[in-house]
Amino acid sequence: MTLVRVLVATALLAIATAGTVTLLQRAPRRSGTNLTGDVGPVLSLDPAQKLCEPGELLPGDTGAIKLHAVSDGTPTPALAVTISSANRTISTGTLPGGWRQGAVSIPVSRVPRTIPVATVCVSNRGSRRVSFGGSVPDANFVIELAGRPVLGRLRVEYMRPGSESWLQLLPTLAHRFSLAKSDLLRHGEAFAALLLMLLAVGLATKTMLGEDPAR
Amino acid sequence: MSGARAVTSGVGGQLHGLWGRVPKAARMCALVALANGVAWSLIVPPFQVPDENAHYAYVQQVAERGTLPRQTQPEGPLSPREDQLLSALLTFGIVGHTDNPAPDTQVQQQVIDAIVKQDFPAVGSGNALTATSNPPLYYALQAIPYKLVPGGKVLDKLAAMRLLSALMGAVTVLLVFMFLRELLPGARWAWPTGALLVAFEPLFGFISGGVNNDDLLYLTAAGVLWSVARAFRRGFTPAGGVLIGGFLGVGLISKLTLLGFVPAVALALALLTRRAWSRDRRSATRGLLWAVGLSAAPIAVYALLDHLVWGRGAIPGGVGSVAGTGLRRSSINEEFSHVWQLFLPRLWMRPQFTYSPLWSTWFEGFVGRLGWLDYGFPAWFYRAAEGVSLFVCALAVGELVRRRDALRRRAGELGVYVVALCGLCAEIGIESYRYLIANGGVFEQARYLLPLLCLYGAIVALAVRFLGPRWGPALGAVLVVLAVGHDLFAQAITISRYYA
Repeated sequence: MTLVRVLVATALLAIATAGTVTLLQRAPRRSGTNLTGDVGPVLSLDPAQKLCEPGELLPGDTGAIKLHAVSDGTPTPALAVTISSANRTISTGTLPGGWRQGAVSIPVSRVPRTIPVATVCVSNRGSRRVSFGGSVPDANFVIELAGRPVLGRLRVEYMRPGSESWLQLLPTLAHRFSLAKSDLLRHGEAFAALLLMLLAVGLATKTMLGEDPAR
Repeated sequence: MSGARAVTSGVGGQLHGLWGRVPKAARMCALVALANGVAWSLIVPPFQVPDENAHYAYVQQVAERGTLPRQTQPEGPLSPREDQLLSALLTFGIVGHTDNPAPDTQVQQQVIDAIVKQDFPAVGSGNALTATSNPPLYYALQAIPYKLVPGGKVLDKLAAMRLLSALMGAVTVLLVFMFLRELLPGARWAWPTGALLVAFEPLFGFISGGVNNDDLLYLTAAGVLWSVARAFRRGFTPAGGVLIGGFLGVGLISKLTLLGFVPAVALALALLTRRAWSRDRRSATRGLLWAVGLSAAPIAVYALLDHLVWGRGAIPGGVGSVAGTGLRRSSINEEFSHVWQLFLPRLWMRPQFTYSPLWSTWFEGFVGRLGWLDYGFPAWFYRAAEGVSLFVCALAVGELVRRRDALRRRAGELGVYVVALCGLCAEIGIESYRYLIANGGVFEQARYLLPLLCLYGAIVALAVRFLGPRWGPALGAVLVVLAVGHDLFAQAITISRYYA
């Protein structure tokens, strides 16, 4: 076996190993977002106040909502979330006080299917003021903050339940890959992209080995 | 009918013969680039390649109305069909917002399907936003897949147009290979290394997978450099003149950025003609005439048609015609300083940038700033890439020093490549300054340097040649696999950006 063959095999193995390690990394994964910008903690809730955001597209497989939250001081207050649609409660969840400022994930009961129009309400159940990241003012949206209408929108990230590896997420990624694409290839796009990259790597390897003077 | 068939089969036969004369390794490298470009076209969501909405609008204007776009004040809407789809795709909620993925629910898909079913008009105000003032060749070619795809679905047409772009990327890599073959004839194993590094360059793959007139610019720029290298090695003949002039002429009506190559081509023609003069004056003169004629004719015809038929002004989008609000006054000293600092250390000059363009714009951009420049690699990756790049450049310089006698003999040819580099940088720098003056914004992007892909391939090829036939192929193999890893990593962060 020539030096080039050994090096190519070793380097490709290293890439495959790195790819496998990445695929096995577990972390909380997103089920969707409400596509709202986060310009900073602009929506403040005093103790016992509630913020309700209507018109949310609630993605299926949601098990938590992630907000950017900062509190006036410590301990940070307990937070409660209620998600409803057509006057029915779809999901609820709470986060005990004492969370770390920044990205905060509030677990909710799993929402199995996508709800096209939902209202997400967040309540401050502690004794300190808390502010959430979002976009204010935003003339396109009206939310309800402590019973009053406000032109703005809370940035919400919807998270899938628990932690998953990329490998576990692959079927979901393949499904997302098929959305908002051409009808010509929609359901085979992920597979086709994978196949093409394998072809590219295979052809490149063959070319390098074919041009090796020590062959 | 039978005459047309005979012509078609004759052209087909010639193309087949031409393809057969291309070295097998070059064809393989082109296929690698094609597979990679098509993969990128499938991975990147529609309209997430810079200005793809504007380029699509230009093609739509050409295909639907048979005319070129025109500036409208205020900047008019695109066709309702495209605008409605862009809105349903949440395009501008995603662009620049790295936390926002592409549409990821069936409900969003249903909204898109509903928009597509409504069959909105495919004709808009005639404005194609940032693409409006571009020359038409790329868009005229893209009108072919646009028309070939039946029905009016924007996403289907865009997918087909992206395939043509990927094909242009493949031809670009083929030309890079051919350039390296002419440049370094003694190092056969170095050619595929340089070409494959170009094929797997993520920014190139990303742009090749999208609808953007840069795709034809890269192809023609590689063609110019190949034909120049070919003429220096094989002698300047009328056929050589046709190639040089043809590629430059076609390139100029693809994107005016190729004006940056004009001084280099002028220098090349002067040197080549002088060298060929003593051997065969007639052949040298004919070569020169072909080169000049084919370079100038397309742009002259384009300018004339623009003025007389399309009513767009002779050369819209040429150097110095950046539209804007005129917020600042320009000065020639400041312009020189701006162009200099865009690529080189500041020296004694007044600072023009609050960051280092050499690192942030060019190096990080080339290694990979993707999408609408809204995502890239983690910081450690750029540092690692810097180390590898410095190592490769050091080896390439070592090879130039070692072969200094040959270099001295070929100083004229080297001068042409240096002038091409400087010309392109000056062209980008001038546009950058004028854009800054007019709009107060940043114009430059790393992809504007990709017309120099041949020189990138040459640096890699020189580096592996420095190590000789024993160790050179080994380094080449390692570099190619590193490039594969680089490209796969770029695709992984793209998937993570839009789908995770």
